[in-house]
Amino acid sequence: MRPFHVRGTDRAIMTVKINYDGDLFFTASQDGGINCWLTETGERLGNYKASGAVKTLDLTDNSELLVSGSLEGSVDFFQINGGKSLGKLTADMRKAKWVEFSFGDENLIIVYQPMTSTINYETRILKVQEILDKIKLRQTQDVLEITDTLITPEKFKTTQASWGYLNQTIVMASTEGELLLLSYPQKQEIKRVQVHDGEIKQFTFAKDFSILATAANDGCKIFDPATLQLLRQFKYEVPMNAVAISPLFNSEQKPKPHLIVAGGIPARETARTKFQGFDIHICNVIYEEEVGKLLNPNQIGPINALAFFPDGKGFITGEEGGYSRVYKFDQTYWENDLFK
Amino acid sequence: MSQLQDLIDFSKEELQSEYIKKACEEIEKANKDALADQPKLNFNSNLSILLIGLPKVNNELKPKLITALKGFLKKNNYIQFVDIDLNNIGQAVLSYDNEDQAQQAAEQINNQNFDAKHQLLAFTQKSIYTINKTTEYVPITLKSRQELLAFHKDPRAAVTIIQEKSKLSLKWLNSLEKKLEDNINEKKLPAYDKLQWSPLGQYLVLFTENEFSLYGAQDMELLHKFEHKRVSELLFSPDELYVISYDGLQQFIIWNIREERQLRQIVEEETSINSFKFRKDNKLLAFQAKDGIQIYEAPEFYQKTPLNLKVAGVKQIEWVPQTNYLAVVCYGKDIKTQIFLHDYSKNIVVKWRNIAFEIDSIQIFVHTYGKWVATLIKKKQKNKVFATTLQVGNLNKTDPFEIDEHTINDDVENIFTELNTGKFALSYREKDKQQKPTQQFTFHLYSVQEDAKKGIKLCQLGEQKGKDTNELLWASNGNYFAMVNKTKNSPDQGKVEFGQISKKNEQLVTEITKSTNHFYMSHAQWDPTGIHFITMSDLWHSVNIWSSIGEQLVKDTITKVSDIHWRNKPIHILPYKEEQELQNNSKSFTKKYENEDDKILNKAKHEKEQKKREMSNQFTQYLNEKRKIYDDKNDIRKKMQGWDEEDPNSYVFYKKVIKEEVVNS
Repeated sequence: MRPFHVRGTDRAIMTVKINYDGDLFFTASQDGGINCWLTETGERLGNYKASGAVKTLDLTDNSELLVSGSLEGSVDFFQINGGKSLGKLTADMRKAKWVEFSFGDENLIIVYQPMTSTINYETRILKVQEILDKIKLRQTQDVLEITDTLITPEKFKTTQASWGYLNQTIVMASTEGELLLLSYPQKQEIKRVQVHDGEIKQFTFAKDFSILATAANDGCKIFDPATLQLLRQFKYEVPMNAVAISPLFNSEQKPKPHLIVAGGIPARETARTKFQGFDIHICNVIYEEEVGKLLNPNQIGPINALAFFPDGKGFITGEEGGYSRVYKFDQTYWENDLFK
Repeated sequence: MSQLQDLIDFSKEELQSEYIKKACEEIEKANKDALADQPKLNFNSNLSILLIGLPKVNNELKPKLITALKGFLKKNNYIQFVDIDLNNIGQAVLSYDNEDQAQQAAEQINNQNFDAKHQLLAFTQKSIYTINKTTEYVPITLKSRQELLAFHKDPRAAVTIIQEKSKLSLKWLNSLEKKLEDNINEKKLPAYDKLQWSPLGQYLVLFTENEFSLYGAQDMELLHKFEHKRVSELLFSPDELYVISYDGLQQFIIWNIREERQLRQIVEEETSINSFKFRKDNKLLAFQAKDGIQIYEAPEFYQKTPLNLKVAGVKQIEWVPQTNYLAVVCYGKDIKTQIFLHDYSKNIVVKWRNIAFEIDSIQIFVHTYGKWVATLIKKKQKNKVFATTLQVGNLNKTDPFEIDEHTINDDVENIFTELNTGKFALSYREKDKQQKPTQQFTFHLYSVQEDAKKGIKLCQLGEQKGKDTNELLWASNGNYFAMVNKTKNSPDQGKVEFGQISKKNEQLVTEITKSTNHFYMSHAQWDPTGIHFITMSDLWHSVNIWSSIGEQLVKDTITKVSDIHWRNKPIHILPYKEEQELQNNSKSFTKKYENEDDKILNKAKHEKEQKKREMSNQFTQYLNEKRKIYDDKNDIRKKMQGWDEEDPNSYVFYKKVIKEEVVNS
């Protein structure tokens, strides 16, 4: 395959997101700029300016709204077509960690570190329509109006909170390697499991919510989202930063039970050691073995983000030097026996 | 007879002779006198025991005996009796309180020394009844022929015996994985002198001092036992229904195995078991006696006197299979040397060549399918052997006899034969410059070739010179051989060399494929199919199994092996037609087993694949469940999202818009 790269900044890229239709993708970097690109050609369509280094991104399914959370304590709202900024939420936040829309785009989860305490990270659920209406009336909002709060359990520093299947559950991950299952409208804790030794950097669901994959310093582990039972695991020596599951995971016609994991040693240690481990691993979940590795010889730093195309024909990575590469699978991926 | 007297009424008849009258009167007297003195002992209940062996005593000294008995019991802390009833002959009945006490006392007192001269025996009622009872007759449960030969059909039962002086275990050789696996594990055998397999492999024979016993069938059970004192050798009939046993001196016994009975006993001095020969169709038995040849007929082995031959100086006889011939060799001092074939159907004698020179010895060999006959003749001059010839005669052309021969100008020590395919090997010592024999041997190899036009020919396969080995063993298919030295306390003990006969440019050529060593080797044997070769050493308890080319397959130095044999097999298990089919279509048959062999040779690969299959089954089950849940809630998803994913009308195709502008040139 022949990947091409796009570069919009000098600084490192923190996230990459593709929209539901698969024709646009967005990269967010540490200097506060969010870029919008066409996936086919790599043409840059536009730029959104956020306040502060952007850590998280999310879009709605109809590709009209864009939400970003920055490390300077603000959550920004943008209109995708045109680049207009609709407003932002600032008060009582030191850092925003994670932002995600629910299934159907009614609600929004925000995970942030509040001003008052440094131990607990709070998560809140807001209704999107209400915020938009309020933002229209006023340009900025100083006080967060809360419709529904979720107070996190004790001694749990959340790094990510995602909606489960049909918004009936919420799964949360912490910096000490724990996973927590909550039921949504009732807000009752179902299960809490110690899973990794270190911080869980990211986790994703498959498209039909059949499995859950986490990435941490050990490697990658796979769970059942209803019971949090361990199904498979892949161990690596290098810390893994990002994980993505192929959307063709459980399809009936051409099932491709594949998973992509990538990471590497942190950027500040690259000059010290020879073994860097910047390659991308493609793994087969059923047989619990690694199918292939991709390594670009020009790569300088670790990979921070991964995203699959919604039809499963390729993926996009985001790296340290501001590069993001677009890979498309060629015929060997579809025909060769290795990749079944 | 005494009962008959009571039944029949003799009162009316008069006793005719006087002597009878006298005898009857004396008997009547004697009965009363004899029994009057002897007291009777009451030994009827379970609470008493019978003592035998006490000193014989008058009535006066009886109480002294009783006190002596009591003291004897006290000394040894035995149970004291309650009541005693003594006899004059030294027998007593002691009674006790309990049955248990009585039994205990009997066990204690039995075989104890009352005096220096008297040893006591004690019996309870139960033990006496068991002595007096005869054992019940258990009829012989014979195994069917299928059960005895079942081990042939199962390929895993091609077994070897390995035993550790009293434990028998059968194993089979797994040549792909290169190890010996268990079939029957460690069965204990009684003490024996010698052990061997029968030629068809059905029975395992154990020799002991007074009898020999046969073991067989699936679990190696004891099947038959035959009594013959100091039996040392056996000869089985080709279908293994009859067996001849020889005790080394002069007695031969013919047995019927299935009925476990003796058929005939023959006594003859200065002969060996080799003087009996069964014919291959199991109907006749030929015996070489001093006067001539005696023939016995199955199944009862009566002598068939019209078939007997009168010939002087018979040294060897052989039946020729698939024909009616009996080959006879006669020579000796003042006896005419003769080799001839006697035809029983036509009553004709077919003569071999005329022999005019002096002879030391003649040996005769017969092909197993009856197509040719070979002889080894040693020529003598002034009491010294100076040449040996090997002759082969075609049995299809007997008028005159077509013979092909080859001579060696030396005294041949040994001949090693393989009669299924017609291979011979002659060995003799090499001589140094001063004509003294050395420790090295040469082997001459021959093979008998059948030609449609020329008949039968004796081909020379070459010489092997300067060998330290003194024995040659052929494999049963005739293509491989092994040269071995097993003599104890010689510097060459343990040498093994493997060789092969192959065709190059339509000529047969021998080549040696490997020469190795096995320290202190004492046993060496090919397996009945000719594929594997075992060497074993008694001293070091080590076993090596080689392939026919010389590749080492199995090495075992840990288990203490004392004796090892291959189990015999008949040459042909299938009828002739089916064997031909197998040879012609061998490829289609091997395909069946290719998969099985592949699994063993590429074990790791197959294990991986199996693991993968298990994992995928497990996971696909799990995924299918999840998919069900996903599909069931389709409606809810539609509501939440606002549109239907699977409806193709809700999609719009992506069109590339390429903007073109005309630039003013």
